[in-house]
Amino acid sequence: MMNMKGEPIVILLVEDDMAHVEIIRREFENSRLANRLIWVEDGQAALDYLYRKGTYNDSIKFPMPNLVLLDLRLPKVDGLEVLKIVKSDQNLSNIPVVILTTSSAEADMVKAYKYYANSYLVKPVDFTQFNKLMNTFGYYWVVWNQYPHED
Amino acid sequence: MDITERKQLEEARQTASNRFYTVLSEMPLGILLVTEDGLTELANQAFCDIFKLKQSPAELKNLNSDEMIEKIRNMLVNPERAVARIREIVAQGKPVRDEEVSMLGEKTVLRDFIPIQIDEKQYGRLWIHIDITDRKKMEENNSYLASFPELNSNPILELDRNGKIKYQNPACKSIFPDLFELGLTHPFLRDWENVINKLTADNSEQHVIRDIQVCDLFYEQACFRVGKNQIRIYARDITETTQAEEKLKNQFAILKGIIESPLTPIFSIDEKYRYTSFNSIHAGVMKSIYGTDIEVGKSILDYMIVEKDRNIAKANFDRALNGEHFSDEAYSGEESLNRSFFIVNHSPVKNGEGRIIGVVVFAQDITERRRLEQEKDKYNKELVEKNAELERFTYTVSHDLKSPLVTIKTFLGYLTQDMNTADKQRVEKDLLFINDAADKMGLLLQELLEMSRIGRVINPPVKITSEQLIKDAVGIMAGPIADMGVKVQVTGESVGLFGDRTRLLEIWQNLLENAVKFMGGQPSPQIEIGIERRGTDTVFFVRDNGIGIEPQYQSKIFNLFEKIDAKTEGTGMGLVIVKRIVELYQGRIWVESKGLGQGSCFRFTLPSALKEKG
Repeated sequence: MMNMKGEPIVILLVEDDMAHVEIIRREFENSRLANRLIWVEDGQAALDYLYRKGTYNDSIKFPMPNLVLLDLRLPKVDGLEVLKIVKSDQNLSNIPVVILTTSSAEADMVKAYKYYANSYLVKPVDFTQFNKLMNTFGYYWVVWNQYPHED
Repeated sequence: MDITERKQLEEARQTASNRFYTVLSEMPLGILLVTEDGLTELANQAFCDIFKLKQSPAELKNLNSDEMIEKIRNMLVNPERAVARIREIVAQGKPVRDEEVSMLGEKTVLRDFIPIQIDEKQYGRLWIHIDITDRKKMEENNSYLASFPELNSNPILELDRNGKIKYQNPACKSIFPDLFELGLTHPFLRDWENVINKLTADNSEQHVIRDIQVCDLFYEQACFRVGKNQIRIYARDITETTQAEEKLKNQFAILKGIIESPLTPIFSIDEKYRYTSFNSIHAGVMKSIYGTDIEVGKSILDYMIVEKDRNIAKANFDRALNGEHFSDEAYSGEESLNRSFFIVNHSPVKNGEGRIIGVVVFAQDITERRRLEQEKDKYNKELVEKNAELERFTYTVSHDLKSPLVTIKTFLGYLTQDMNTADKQRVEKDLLFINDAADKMGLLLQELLEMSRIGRVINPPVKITSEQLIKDAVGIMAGPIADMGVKVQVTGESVGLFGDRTRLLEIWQNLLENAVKFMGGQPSPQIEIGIERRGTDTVFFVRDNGIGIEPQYQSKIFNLFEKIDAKTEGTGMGLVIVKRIVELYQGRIWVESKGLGQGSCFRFTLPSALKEKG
């Protein structure tokens, strides 16, 4: 599936839990939403990707994401730290960052919004709920949400 | 009659006579011996002196009465009457004693007249003169002085040895109207025996001064001996002085009490830095610092043999002497050993006219307060740390435990779907994820339990050597070490430790486990376990040539549930546990690594395990 304009959507998933990566991948597959899901396992890798450092130098293989799906508790560089850096960088701040985490801690949420997170989602423990969340998420961010063209 | 005998008798008489005349001549009394015929037989030098005669005694011999009177009459006051008196005495021919004769120049002579009579027969007459001018003057003076007690407002009295009152001046009579009647039973004459004993004993004192209380009044008595048997007492009302003195004494006692009561040094100095007072605590402090006993009147600066101390002290005294009232913090003693902290207060001392005459200094020992504050700060810090850790803990429980739970629940959902579609591969995959997540939860729970036990469960401390602990740790890790082909080397001398054996072993075991785990692709993996001295510290270390840690992550690794590499096994709790145990023994742990691929060296100290050597 494409978005309303028929363009492929690139989602950068930052997640250290392999099981959760598998869940998200399956959800996108089931809803046939994701054109392209790129996964990195920690905060440092996410920043390297966004700044096209090292192996992420190849812009064809590693295109700029239209959306970042970011976990909070990450090895090396914490999710909030990644968010802070992205949102304070003029070249990156327009990329929507959606927090997807198990943490429902008030402090995390407050901080995330303070650092200009575009949305804050808590992974539900219930299977059906998780299905629903991912479906809704897909339609909202992938189908309905409009993104500017990358120059 | 034998002529020889007569001659001998004559000679003896002559000798006696000569001797008699010689004695008379030499006497200090003015002697005039006149024969019955009125001729001068002998006048001595003292006689010539009294009447200021120009002639020598020898020249006066054989002068008749008229000639002699003519010589002396000019010296007599009112000569007509005086000469008449002389003629009268001679005519009467009776002894006259102690007759005062006034002479010119305010001289007084005491005159005796003795007719020499043997067996009713007159042999002549002897005049004796004594110059009593000085004595007379003295008596006059005495009587002049004696008139004063009458006017004196202080009690003056004279008594005999038995306490019988011979004289009281008017003041004495009016103040002690019943003194005469009561005699020695009057309180004013209390302990009279004592006074008498002191004044009359051998080596007796010239006078006795004593204080006597009569009702509410206090008298100072000065008791003098007058003549052989008289005692004269001059008394002085000292009630006011005594009361003032008493008051002063009390005030001084109160002040001393105030100065001594707080357990803090207090002293005062004059404008030349000389001690005017100090309490025993200050004296003790000075003794302990400078080894000298201080004294009032000596300069405090002279005692301060350390120049730096002296300069600071002087500057402070000068500030106070300039009128400033201030408090400063100061300390004494060596740092970290037994340093004492004080708040030192300097206040200028002013006299009645407001002029600054010195400085009062008191120091308040705040060492204990300081220590408590530091302890409080330490506990606060610990509490903040513990709180932060607790927050982290609850956060972790809500996140890290929730994560596998989400996994399990979600994959159980997929499992149901996949079983319906009978996709065997998918089912197996689902089960694998569920299994991994459950394992992860199990491990997390186990380590959480372990964490909570540190600090709560303490095995009785034992004596053990570092060598033994390292040997045990290597033994436990023997399997993985062999699997990875790691070469383990133990260096440094073994040290004795005293502590919980299981916990201490966990330190080396965890560090060794980490070193083996993070070898990366190292073709010849090596681990060195050792001990080294850094100053006074004994530092243990576990060094490897594995993947190393980038500088920015080096402080994070000891945090709860912090994991640098997502792919490695474990919960990231091993180092947290190690840190906890090290801190139990007042130690610290840190990691040194030059970065990725450079190997790591974990160092730690265990001061309290080293100290208590059983």
